[in-house]
Amino acid sequence: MEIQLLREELLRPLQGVAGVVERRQTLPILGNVRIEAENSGAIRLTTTDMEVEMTADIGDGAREAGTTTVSARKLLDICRALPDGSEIHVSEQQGRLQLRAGSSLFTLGTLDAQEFPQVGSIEDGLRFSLRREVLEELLKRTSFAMAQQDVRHYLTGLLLEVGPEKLRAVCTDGHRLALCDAAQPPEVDGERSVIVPRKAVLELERLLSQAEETVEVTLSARYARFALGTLGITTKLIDAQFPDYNRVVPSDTRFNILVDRGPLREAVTRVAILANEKFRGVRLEAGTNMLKLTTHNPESEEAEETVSARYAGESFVTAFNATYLQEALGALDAETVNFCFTASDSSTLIQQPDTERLRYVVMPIRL
Amino acid sequence: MVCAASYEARRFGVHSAMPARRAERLCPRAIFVPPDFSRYKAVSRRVREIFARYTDLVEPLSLDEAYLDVTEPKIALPSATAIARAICRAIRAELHLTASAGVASNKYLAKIASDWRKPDGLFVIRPSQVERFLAPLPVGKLPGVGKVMKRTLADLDIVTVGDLRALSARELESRFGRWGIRLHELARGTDNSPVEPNRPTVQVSAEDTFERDLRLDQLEPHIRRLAQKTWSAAERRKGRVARTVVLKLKTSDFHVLTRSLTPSVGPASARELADIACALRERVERPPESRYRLVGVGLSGFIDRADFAAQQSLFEPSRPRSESVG
Repeated sequence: MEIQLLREELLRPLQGVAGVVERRQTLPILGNVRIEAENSGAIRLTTTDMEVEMTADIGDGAREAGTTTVSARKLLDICRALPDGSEIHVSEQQGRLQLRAGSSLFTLGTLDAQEFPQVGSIEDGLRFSLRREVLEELLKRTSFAMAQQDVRHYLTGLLLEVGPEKLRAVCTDGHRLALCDAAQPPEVDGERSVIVPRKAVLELERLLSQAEETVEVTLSARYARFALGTLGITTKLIDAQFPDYNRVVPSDTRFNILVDRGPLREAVTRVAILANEKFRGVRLEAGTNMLKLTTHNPESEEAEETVSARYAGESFVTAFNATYLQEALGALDAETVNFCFTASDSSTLIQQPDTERLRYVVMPIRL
Repeated sequence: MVCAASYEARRFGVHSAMPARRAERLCPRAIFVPPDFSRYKAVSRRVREIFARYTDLVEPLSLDEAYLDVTEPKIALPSATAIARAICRAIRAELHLTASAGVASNKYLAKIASDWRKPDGLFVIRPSQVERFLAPLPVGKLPGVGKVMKRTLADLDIVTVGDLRALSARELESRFGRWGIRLHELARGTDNSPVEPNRPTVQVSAEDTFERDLRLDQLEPHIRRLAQKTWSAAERRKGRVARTVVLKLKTSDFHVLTRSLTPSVGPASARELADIACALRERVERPPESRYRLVGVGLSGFIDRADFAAQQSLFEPSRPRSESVG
């Protein structure tokens, strides 16, 4: 195998796929990047953690075909540290990878490419393409609500519901929920609902910012594949039933309060400073044309803010985790938001007055 | 799995933490009764009410054991022995249960004494008898001396507490550090730890060593049983709730691993605790054929219930945490 590339031609794709490589691997080869050089000159880099597989294609640079694997971390560190514009020459001899650039020479250990676990291609499944911004918006507006670690695996991912004229993302950690419908859903011939694991969602979000205009999606029974031009992510799906979220999105609410989003968000941030560090509880009290926010902590310190609102109903009190409020308010972008309550111990719907496309549901803290 | 065995069954070699099948083989006519923790808890509460007539200084040790400090009892009786007798009588009359009691000048001696005349008896170690009583006891009777320690001491030709007394505090300290000093005290019947009714709980856990080393995928029934035990113990820490779940494992070659998880809301039942502990096995990065000799389930990160804001769940019916029973 022999490759000749400019530093930048190798660095960008390598950064693209390195995210999935874990620092602590169960198998040493999972710390490696698979490098496949073809006779046509094309090069493909592949990384995997056995759940998520990432690929990056480099159009030209292979001088001699061959496949090997080498530490992704070390290769990335070397490429980063080389001067801009360096010409990199890589060759494999007797199980070692030699990398030359200018006056530098690195000899790296390799592992047999045959041992590298690969998903391979997904033959059947629902295929569709969509504009990058559409997918980017879905993820940006919902992914923060995924559970970080939870024994209920289905909460540590993003539910993607696809159908004719429908593309919806739902994330929830069991305490709050974020839902976003695509403004312009892609044309899809069929229906499918899958749970994309958290790690794949985060990697996808990262790659989308530098991707090309169109994303090709394939959803099979066990895998989802997202092809973003030269970069690709293939992920195992979470094999579980997503909870019935329709049940917990309030539809008929009793109290609707219209608040300016910016000032409310800032007020929450300020009162949260004196909230209990662990539970971050903020008490909300609704009165005529105002919303009062208060917090206190175990040291008996207190904060209070009053925000003007449009509200004429009876006064009532509830409480929320400040982080959940901040994140929901941050994911919306309208001038004003609607808080829709039914009772102080039931869920609250936060949405924009102009659309039902974005819905945030937050469960209260019992006072 | 056997949670507890009656004295009759124990005569056949049945003991707790034994697989039910094995117990059945040892004692074919044994009657197997599924545990009823809510009932045990209710009875335990009534027993504690009886204790409370005599003293407020009660430190519960488990559902069916507690330390009582009766230096200054609420009801004046001539001696601690008389109080122990009165309590056992009350338990028998009101709850139709037998109880055993140990009376001594400190906690650990009282515990040894209470084990002396089980299941239905009273044993008193008078201060003047302490040294004589302890000398012939096997060192394993001392709190903190388990299998491994026993073996280490046996290598030094120390089998009884009397043998242990032959070693000076300095010798024990150089060998075992601070634990050596404690051993020196225990060998002489000294224990100054007070009876603490509201001991702030740092960690509650239960663990078991298996007769045969097991694979990770065989541990679930053990984890569930231990979770039940840990949960019952944690529930007695009134006003305190735990947020962190800990899974402890010891490999067949004696490496101890722990994995823990602090969900945004701690477990609300023994079942949730068991579910989390079982799931923590996934974070053990060892080949699936590895074997383990011990498993433990713990709860830590205790905080005052008052500081605990009850975050409601979207998908589960919420219930008051204090009443949840696994």
